Amino acid sequence: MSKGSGDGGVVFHAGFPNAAEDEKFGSLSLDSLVVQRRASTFFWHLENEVPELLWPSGSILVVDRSLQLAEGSVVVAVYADEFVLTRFHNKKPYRLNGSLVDGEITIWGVVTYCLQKVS
Amino acid sequence: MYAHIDCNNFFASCERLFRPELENKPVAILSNNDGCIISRSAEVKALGIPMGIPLFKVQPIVRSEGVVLFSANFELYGDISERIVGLLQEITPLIEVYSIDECFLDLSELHITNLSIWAKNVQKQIQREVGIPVSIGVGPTKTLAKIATSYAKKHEGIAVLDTGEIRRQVLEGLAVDDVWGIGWRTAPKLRERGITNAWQLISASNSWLRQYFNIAGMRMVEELRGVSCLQFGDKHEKRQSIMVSRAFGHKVREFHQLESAAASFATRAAAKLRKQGSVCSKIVVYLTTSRHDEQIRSVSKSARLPEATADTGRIISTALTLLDELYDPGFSYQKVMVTLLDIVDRQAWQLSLTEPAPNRTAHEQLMDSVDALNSRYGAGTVWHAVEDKGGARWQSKHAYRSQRYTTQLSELPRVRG
Repeated sequence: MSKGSGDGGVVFHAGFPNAAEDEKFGSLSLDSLVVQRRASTFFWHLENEVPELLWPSGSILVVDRSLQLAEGSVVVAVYADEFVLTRFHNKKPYRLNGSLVDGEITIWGVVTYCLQKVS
Repeated sequence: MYAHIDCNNFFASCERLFRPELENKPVAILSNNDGCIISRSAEVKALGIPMGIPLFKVQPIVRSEGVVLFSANFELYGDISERIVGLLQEITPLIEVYSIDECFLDLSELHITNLSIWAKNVQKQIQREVGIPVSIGVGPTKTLAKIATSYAKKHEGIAVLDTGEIRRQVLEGLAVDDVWGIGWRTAPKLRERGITNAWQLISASNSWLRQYFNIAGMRMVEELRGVSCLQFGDKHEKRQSIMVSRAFGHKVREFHQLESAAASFATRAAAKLRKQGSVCSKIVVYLTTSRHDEQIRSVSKSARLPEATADTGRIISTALTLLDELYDPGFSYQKVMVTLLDIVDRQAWQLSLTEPAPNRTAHEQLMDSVDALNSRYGAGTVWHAVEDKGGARWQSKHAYRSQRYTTQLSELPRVRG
């Protein structure tokens, strides 16, 4: 409690209000950051290291199927019945080591985040 | 107008989403115990393998045609289903979830200029965002919308029965036997009187039809005529009974194994009960041998609880008392079922006069914590001591189950860089 004097010289007592009484704060959730659309967002496990992007093996990739391709998008794609990461430059698909993908690919979804373990 | 959205070969489509090499290959899903075929891709249907057939009966063709089998993976299917529902809820809140792979939408609040184009866009959006192919039927009643969907499945996945012309054409092509709600007993009688298709049915007079139909049947006829009579929405969203059962992977004779199975089913039933905010006051346990056994024992017994509850402990202990009374050691059992009945809202329960009131809030809090832990860390994180964990014999066979790609961090789909 503190004692003070208001403008009109009236003495009042004030304590710190407990904000939590009026408002309930939820705890932070990473979902609210990385899951922009629940219907179309999927998590993937990265099977090997991607040195070009500094992504370690075992990273969790967040993939949103609702997004449109943009220049430089990294996508999960189906190539020869396998899931592989592909990057788009000038609307052409490249493997992450820079080689142009030769053959038909289907885009599964656009990678939006890479979650990696640091320690 | 109403729209009916039906996922094509839903379980098989969920599996294909993460196994693209199975596109255009025959895929079949097996029931809980790997016993029967419960979902078939178009290729499996084309092989003439019927729905619901026991696997052993079609094993030769399954082998020779290379049908890819999956054990039912309901965690995956349930999650994909929720995604589709979530997407449809963005379109309109007037949605009725009819089953795991079917929804109705009430389109009356939407301003749609071209229903066909609208349906095509919804179909495309679900395919793109969730990855599941669907068929969409639109009609002035729920019944007509559902009929439109089955017509759509043969015609590019979209059908709109908005004009009298197309409605007549579709109804003429629909045999009375296939009309939603006409039983196998009524259909032959109608045929005898020259009514073979749905159009002839709705052209008959009401006074004539009343010979064959009760009120529910007459309502169905009105629905076919385009007059909406069925309730919309989840009016009966809260279940009136909750049943959990599985057939065992092997025959079970030992009481302690039956006991752990029954306890586990009671636990799951109680969790479902709490999830819908209800309590129950009656429990039924059903115990049976296989129908194919020489000595058949198929028995059930019910008990009324002294007061309505959703408490796992009380539900387990009542179920086990019943099981004990039903058990005869001279038989090997195939199945246990636990059913909760007399279900009411948590707030509406009656206090029992004969039993002292327990500290209900403490009970409720405990149960809420149990449910929260189980939902965060996976079903079975916290359990009552009698539920047996780890390779119990009663646990269902699921030899071909795929990963739970969307609900378990340890089972995510994998991609190479």
